[in-house]
Amino acid sequence: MTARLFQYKWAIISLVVFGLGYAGFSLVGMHREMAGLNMGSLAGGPVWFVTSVEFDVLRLENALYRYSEDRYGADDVHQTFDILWSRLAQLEVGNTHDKLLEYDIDMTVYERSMDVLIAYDDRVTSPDFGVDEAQELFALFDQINGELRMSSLKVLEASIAETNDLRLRALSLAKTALFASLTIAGMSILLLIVFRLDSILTRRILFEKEALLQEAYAADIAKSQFIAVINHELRTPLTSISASLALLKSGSLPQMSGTAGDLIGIAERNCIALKKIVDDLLDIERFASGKMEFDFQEINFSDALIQAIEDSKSYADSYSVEVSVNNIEPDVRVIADLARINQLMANLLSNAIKFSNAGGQVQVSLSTESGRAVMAIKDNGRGIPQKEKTRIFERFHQVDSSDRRERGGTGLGLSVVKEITDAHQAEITVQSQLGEGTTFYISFSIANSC
Amino acid sequence: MNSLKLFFILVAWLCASQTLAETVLTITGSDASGSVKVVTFDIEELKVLDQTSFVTIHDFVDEPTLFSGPLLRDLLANFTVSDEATLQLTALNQYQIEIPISDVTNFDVIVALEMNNAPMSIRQNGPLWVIYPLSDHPELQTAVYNSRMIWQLIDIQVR
Repeated sequence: MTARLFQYKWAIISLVVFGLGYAGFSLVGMHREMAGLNMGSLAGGPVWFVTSVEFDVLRLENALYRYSEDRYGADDVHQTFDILWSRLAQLEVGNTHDKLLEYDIDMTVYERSMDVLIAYDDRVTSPDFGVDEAQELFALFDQINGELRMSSLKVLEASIAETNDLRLRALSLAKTALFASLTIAGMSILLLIVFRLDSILTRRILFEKEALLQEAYAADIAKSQFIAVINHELRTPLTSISASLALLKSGSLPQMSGTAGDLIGIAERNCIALKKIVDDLLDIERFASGKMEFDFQEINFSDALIQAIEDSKSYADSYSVEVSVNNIEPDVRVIADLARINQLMANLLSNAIKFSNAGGQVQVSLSTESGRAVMAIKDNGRGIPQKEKTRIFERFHQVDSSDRRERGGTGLGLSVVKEITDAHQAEITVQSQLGEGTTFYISFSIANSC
Repeated sequence: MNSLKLFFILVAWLCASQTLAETVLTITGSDASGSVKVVTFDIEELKVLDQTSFVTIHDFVDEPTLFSGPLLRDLLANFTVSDEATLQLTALNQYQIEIPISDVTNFDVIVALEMNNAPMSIRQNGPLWVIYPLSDHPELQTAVYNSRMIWQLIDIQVR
């Protein structure tokens, strides 16, 4: 279940990214829209202003009334007169004026109020402002009061309509905010699930890896034990059998019949082949465990190669293959372990011979080029398919399983060759054409070129 | 004799003018000891303080206008004012608003005595008009700060 859910990890993460992006985008848009809402305009808006006009008219009326009763001085009347003046003057400028025009408010009543103030300006500021005049002014504003109220109501109505619009937009924004918050919460939960799954699976994978590692370690120990068994239980009797057969064949013992001699020959060849397999196995194990020891010295590579070709002749004869020398440059010297180089050449030659067709030819050459000795061993066998070229140096690998049956071998030869080449810091390359043959090139640094 | 007479007349006039000087602003707060402190200003006393001028636009004018007057924070310099204090401002018609002290400390809020280099009458929203430097601080160009620009200011209570 967990693993199945985890298959959709990237789909879930993509969904989370998309969801969070969408929520973020919505919030940014919401913020922009909120900035454009100008909710604050409602606080000090035109309603407040026109109501203030009404309030200041009432204050003026109150002052005039008290003045006519001799309870207020002329200064009090004058001050409330000026305050109302300032209020009405303010309706003519600034944002309030613009807003009233926008609301399509009839300004006549305010203009008329101002006209009254202008008409009484001289009289109110005069020291002999009379009670009759105060009552007259009071009566004039008393008449205007009703109209001012009506005008204020119209402004209020227009403002409410605008507020309504604002309220609806605010509601829509609140919905957006809610949706964005829910999306973010949902995405966070999803993300949490993904991370939780990730953590569970990672732990499981680590556990499995550890188990595999332990298995591998156990297998390695088993392999080492197996190699030890091979070394002791297989190689020791093999050496003994091989020595006995050699003694029989040498003729130091009473002569045997022809058939018995042939059988001993067969037994000896197979014994040698088996010993070679055991030796290869042990060598591979030594390479793998880093226990292979090398004795590097300056050697005559040309002589070693010629000797290896000579040694391979009898094996080549058994496959009806001819090993021919194709220009071996004399006295090419390299720093190498002679025993390992012989093993390398023997492996390559036996491989070339083994995989050549009967009557075929294996050509060997050695040349020097740019301070390097390049040995080439060319056969005219069936060739190596392109996809196999990188795998031929793997242990126990053979190009075709039918090879094993037809040609024998364990698939260890080339692996040993590669290990020896690497230990000598030499380079091995292979060129092959299906149906035409294969050439192995091995290039060593020349000793005297250093 | 004549000069003596002239001197007495001058002294009498000066005394009269001192007593007659009309208080235009009263500030009530507390001093360092926590006692209530009341300071009054007439227009001349406000004029002798350092004046700050700037041109600004706001909701109550049609075009950028030059205002000048003392900084509100200078008027509060002799009071003990906490960082969380609120100022209650009252206008001539008893209209009141409250502003946070942070406005005064963060911005050059002035109590304007003049508009376009001329004193303001009550009819022109004077004689004292609290003005924020909106043009210098675009972030203040909102209805909230416009509504804090109380005119016909007569009283400040530090709370």
